[in-house]
Amino acid sequence: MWNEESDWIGSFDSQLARLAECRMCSRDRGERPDATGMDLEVLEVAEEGSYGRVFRCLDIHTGALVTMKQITMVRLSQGVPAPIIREVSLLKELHHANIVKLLRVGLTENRYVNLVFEHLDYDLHHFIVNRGYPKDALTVKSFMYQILSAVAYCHSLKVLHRDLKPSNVLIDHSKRLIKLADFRLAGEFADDLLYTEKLGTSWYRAPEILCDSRQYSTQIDLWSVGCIFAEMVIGQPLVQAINCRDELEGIFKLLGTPTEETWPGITKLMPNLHIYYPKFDALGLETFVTDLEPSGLNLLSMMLCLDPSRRISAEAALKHAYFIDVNYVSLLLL
Amino acid sequence: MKISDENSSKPINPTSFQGGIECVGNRKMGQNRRALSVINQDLVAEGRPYPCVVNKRALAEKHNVCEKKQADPGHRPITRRFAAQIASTQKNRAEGTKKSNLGNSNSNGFGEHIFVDEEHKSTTDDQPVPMSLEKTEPMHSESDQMEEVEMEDIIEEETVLDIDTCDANNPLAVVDYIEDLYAHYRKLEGTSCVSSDYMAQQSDINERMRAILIDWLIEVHDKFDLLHETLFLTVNLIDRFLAKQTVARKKLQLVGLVAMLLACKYEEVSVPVVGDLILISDKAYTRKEVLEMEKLMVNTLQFNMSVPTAYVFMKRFLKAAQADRKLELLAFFLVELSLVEYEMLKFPPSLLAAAAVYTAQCTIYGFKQWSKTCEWHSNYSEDQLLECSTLMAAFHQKAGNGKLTGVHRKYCSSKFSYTAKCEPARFLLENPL
Repeated sequence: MWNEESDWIGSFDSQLARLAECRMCSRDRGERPDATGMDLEVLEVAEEGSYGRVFRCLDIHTGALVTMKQITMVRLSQGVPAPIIREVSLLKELHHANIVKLLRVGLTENRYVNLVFEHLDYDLHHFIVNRGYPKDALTVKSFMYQILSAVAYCHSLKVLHRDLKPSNVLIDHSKRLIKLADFRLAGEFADDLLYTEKLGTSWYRAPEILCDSRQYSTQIDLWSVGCIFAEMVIGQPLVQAINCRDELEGIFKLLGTPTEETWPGITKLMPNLHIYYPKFDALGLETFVTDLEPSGLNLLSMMLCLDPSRRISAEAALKHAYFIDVNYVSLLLL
Repeated sequence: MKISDENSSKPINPTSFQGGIECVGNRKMGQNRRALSVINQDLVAEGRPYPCVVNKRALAEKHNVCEKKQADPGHRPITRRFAAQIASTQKNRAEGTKKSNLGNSNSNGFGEHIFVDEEHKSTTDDQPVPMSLEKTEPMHSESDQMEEVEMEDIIEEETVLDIDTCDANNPLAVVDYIEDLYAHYRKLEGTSCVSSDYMAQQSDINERMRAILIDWLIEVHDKFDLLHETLFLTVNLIDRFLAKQTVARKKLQLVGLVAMLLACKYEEVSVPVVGDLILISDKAYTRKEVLEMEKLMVNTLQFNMSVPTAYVFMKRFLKAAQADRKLELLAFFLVELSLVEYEMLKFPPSLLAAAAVYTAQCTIYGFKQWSKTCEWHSNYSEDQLLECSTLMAAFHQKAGNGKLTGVHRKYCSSKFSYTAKCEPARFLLENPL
């Protein structure tokens, strides 16, 4: 299956290359979006990704703005690809106030799967970069609580997100409401499945993935949430590296190079750890993440724990002392 | 109408599989595919064996099976009196645990007791029994009370072992969410069940044809060596599709094939290729027909594949029953017999699963057996299970008779430890409701 998926992704890239060439020749003759049977009016192309295209649309019946993701299917000799069956099915299962809603889905006559989502104006990345990040401590706390609620819900259904980052955290600005999006890499986890794909921005990737561990579980999302937490407070990504190795070194500089004591099993996972990486002492999160109250810093340290088995779960995080006044916070913001 | 005779012929070479997984240990099929002549009159059977399909998880499961079989010689049959003692002690412990659980907002203490890997549980179950039997036999002169005390000690050791096993499997991920997960499943199953009288709206097919189709698909599922969950999802997709779409009888087998293809795409690591599915239908359909039916089914079902089938409940309830392999196989035998029977659609998947475990325990122990632990986790009392259980016992009794014997033949094999050969629980049939 993974080989097929790799072929699939490669095929998408080549198709996009041809599409780009075509557009350079004649801008107006790009392939028109096929929204047959979806009752949508296409307004604009919002994004072109490795998996297909994203359109801003108007729902003909309700007049509401929606986002349509159009996935191009390849290798049609085997019918609808298995990853699409899985991903769409899992997306349909997710019903939570803090998860972007999949309104409907359809297969077109030729080779597209159309996914229609509710539309939100902003994402957290935009919020941080253009609005100078949520300086308001109450907003940070409210956002964190909502993100963790969504993640705990997914994990309770055995669904991982696996690509949590600020651009996948959508914001309904008027309500200060958070919705997680882009579960395109989500999959049901099981102990005997080995996830070998490593996709997504490395800045939010858990150390056990950066170490090439082939067995991981819910904890990878908690690491990503921890990175988002820190970024909301300091206004920039915690460790910004261009590749996995440098990202890992940046993490070790911050938290200390792991030992068998701090991360049991690390010497088996990375036998050559001390050849490739210097032995750093921990600098401490408080030196980087200033302006965060002590209980928030404590929660952050439990999320950014190198040892996955000791990292806090989303369920437990929601009960942390940092959120003791969260109801008051929610009422204030809403 | 006759079902075609099976006969030996030249085996078909295995074809390459989606995802490029190599075929390991080619197997020759002892039995040939049986055509659905009743459903599709144009179908002419030529009795070809099926191509070999291998997936990783199934191989792992086989390995586990081998390990467990090696442990069998050390296992002694449980006497009626010994089983009664176990049951009595289990009930006492379960009641105690349940009381303490009611006072807590979380179920960590209770949950840890339940969360045992099947592999570990098998080891745990196998070891204490011979010890206890050895102790019990030379102490006939001692009082029952003394024996009960010792039994409690032994079972407490199992509890300790369970907790250790739970830690090894990352209890944080499991304990925090497992109760939420099953609450979600129970809530969800109401919406993913179909009406138990949907067949009345079909004009060209009937209950009998559905039974023939599913009986055949169970055989296909076994030949392809697919996962349990794939079979349950396949049947769910068939019923949900037929509840919404009128189907001609000539297309019913196509619906079954495509349902299995979709279930494989959702559940399996390695998906059979479309060509293989066409072969097992003896080329009754073209690739174009298969792909068009797939598109129709996916759109009709709106991509809803994440449904709680009886399988997810089976896993949980078997854990609650601390099932050994024999009980597990018998429970699956019973629930698969129920898949074939249209009338069982009136029971929700969780009830089917609970009744299968209950009926299996009655069959093995020779008396009614439903512990407080099982009642707690299944949300069903013994009374609530009796109607469904009686039907299952009846299916067990007649499983080897008539034309639809796919499940019986499957569970008569050494692979399934000849489970189908054990006697049904007749006392469940003696006082029908």
